[in-house]
Amino acid sequence: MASIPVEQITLDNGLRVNLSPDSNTPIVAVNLWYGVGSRNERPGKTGFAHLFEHMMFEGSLNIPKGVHWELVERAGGSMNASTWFDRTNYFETLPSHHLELALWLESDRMGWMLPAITQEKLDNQRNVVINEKRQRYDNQPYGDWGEKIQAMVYPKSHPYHHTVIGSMEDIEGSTLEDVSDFFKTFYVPNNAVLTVCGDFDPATGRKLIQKHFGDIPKGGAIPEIPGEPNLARLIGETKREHVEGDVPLPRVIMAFRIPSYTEHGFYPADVASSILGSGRSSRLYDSLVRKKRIAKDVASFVFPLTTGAGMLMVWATGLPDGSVDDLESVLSEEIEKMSSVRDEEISRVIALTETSFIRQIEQVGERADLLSMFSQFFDDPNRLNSEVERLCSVSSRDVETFTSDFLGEDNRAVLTYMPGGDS
Amino acid sequence: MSDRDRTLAPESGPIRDFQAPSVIAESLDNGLKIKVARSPQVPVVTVSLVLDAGEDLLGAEKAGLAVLTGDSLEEGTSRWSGGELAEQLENNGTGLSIDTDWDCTTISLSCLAGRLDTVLEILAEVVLNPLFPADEVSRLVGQKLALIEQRKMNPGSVATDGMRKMVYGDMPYGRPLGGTEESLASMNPELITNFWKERYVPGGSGLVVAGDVDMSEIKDLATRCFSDWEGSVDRQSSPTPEATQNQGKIFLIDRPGSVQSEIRIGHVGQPRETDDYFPLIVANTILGGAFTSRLNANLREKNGFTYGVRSSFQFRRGAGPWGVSTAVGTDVTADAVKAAVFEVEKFVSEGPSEEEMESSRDYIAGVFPLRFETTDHITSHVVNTLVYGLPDDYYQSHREKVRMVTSEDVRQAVKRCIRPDEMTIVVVGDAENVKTSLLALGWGELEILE
Repeated sequence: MASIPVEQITLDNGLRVNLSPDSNTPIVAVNLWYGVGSRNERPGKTGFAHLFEHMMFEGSLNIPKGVHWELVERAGGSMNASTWFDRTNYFETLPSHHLELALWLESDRMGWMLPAITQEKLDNQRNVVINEKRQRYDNQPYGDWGEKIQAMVYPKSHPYHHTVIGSMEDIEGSTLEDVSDFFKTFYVPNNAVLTVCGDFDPATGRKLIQKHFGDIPKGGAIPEIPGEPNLARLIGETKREHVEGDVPLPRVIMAFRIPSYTEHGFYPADVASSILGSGRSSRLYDSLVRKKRIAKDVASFVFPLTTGAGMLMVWATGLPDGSVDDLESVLSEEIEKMSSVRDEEISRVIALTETSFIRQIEQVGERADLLSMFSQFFDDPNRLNSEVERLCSVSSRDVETFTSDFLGEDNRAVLTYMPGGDS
Repeated sequence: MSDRDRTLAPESGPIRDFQAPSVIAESLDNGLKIKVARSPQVPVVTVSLVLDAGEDLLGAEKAGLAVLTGDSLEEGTSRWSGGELAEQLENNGTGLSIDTDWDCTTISLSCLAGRLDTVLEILAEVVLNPLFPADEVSRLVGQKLALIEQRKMNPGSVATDGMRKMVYGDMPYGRPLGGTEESLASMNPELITNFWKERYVPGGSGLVVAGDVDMSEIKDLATRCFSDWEGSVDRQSSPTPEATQNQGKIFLIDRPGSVQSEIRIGHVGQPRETDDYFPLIVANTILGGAFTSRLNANLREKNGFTYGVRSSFQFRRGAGPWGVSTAVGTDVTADAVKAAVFEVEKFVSEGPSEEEMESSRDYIAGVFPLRFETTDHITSHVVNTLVYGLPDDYYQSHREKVRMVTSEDVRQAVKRCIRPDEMTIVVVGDAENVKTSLLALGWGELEILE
């Protein structure tokens, strides 16, 4: 795989910039990571990072409400933003001759968002966010799983205890002053990474970035993450919660605290998760779906989080007459069996990961997002070029050790859903 | 502060030309079409085999057979069990993606270029020598029945399925794509095998490859893998729905305790071959196909009723549905229906403004290169040309055709193809809380369904 070129510069105001030219297709991606996510929210203000992300589309000093979208769509671009535990990202991909448009739009809201904020806009976006929460979580079967799992894996004092979408009450209680404080605290160049990736000339890119972002004043130091970010390695017990109600099928979700993404120990966790649940030759699919026929679907994920601990999660959805006990006991058996891993399983997982990684970075938008991430988390965008190597270096022994250290009953959250009630 | 004027949007730089990858076409002696879209300097190759094996020609008693046949391919071949097949694919860093819709079945995979030979041989084994073992098929049917249970409790799925049924009645497009509890109960390996024999044939099928490959290489490989394959299939005509059933009615599907209402508004749309295709994609961008569309500006950005609202034409071989889709707060359900109907009626009666025309044409033409970024984007476009009988150079002139659409074209097309009087509305929500206000709209007869 050819190495992705990346040039790093830092502006005087602290904005970290990655430039990664590639003229294969005449499109360019502009990607910004702000080092703020739900982990930075204080009690009573949950969901605010995400609500704020919505406000960033409501206009800034020189760009009236709606015009950001209009200009990007008109240019033939696509754009969006997302909020996660550790960060908020904003991104545009557009025909490359419109690069400066994206830089102007992003710089105007980084530097001069506050003058455009009104109560009316806040009320409007609060309603949009409340409807987002209803649509994606409250009105969906199993929609509360994330909230319940996070609350079991992370203690109340930890910033990952609450969800990114936050609580309705907190969202409803947000004020213009909150918006303003949040902006002044977190939306400052010294808390952001800007990546430009695709068809552009680096010298021109540097000049345009300086022109648009150079005069945004540097902000203060970023406040410490609230609560108690440090965590014990393990949950310390098996926590459980059982929900009976408005769900169509039994489902068991198990989650484990794992090393954070910034630790080397994260990689064996990632490989373990893939052995368990990636693809149809994975252990969970083969056992629960194909052989024992007790599950309709299975899945496994790792959450590459950076504050204290990440999370590994597996789930299985049962069949209409099934029981959560059967699902849980087979899931537990398969997890115990991870104490022995074959080399060919490792090679298969690495082959799968390699293909999906290369397919991902085929797209300039995805490549830009990863470069921003590696800068934000590791201060090293070039880490993109060695990420697959780090996975390849994981041995069966590493996975076995990970299993014995992290997948035991002393580090487990179990959430079960069963159809029931009068619904 | 710099001395530059921040108030004005910067001028765009010099535009760089973009051409959709050119497509080279050939056929094998058995009729299998081969299309290669060369995309230099990318490490990944995507292969799609498209078969004339969609759901739209199946009677109600066989609903879901095409989907089940496609999905059953992975359950074992004469050479490998299902588990072994999965290992073969995944050892090569890939997996099959089998997608059956109304029009066709497409089997795709992406792999690193160096593994193409091996992977294509596996694909051929799957398509030419599947076994459809009875116990694996019955397991798949069980999974599909479970999926139906899941869909019943998902308000969005209930609304979409309800809308289909109300608009198309007993026509194939009126049922869920994957079949019904009744039709799935009667599925067996014999039905699947017969469908496979009839429809999984080289004549009428196409092999599409995109990546850093050339035709001679692909033709050699395809000859090695597929030349023993025989047979062909004549395309029968697709369903031609006459008119929307249940015009002018609101169906309220009760979901007690729902905190939102899922809303669908629509009627029978247009087939892919319609002469109005380009005017309609421009029209839809303006009405509800982009973030800045009229519907989203009203329902989301002005009123905060919803997280989002879209409209779409589903262009198929037959006339797929046209409609508006959103989810809104329970308390504003009737207001949202009213606002959506208002925007549709206004658009039909007034047509687009010149400014809207310009920006939507710019948008569609501008995003075009973004739609060809990866090898799987490219193959999916080439697959479309095969399924809908479009010329190989179709995408070369796509942007030009978009740019030539006039406001008058849009006005006329919209008048023909969006007919507010013929709309049906489906709402999935808490009937107790929304029925009175829906009735008060005076839009049409309201029927409450449990």
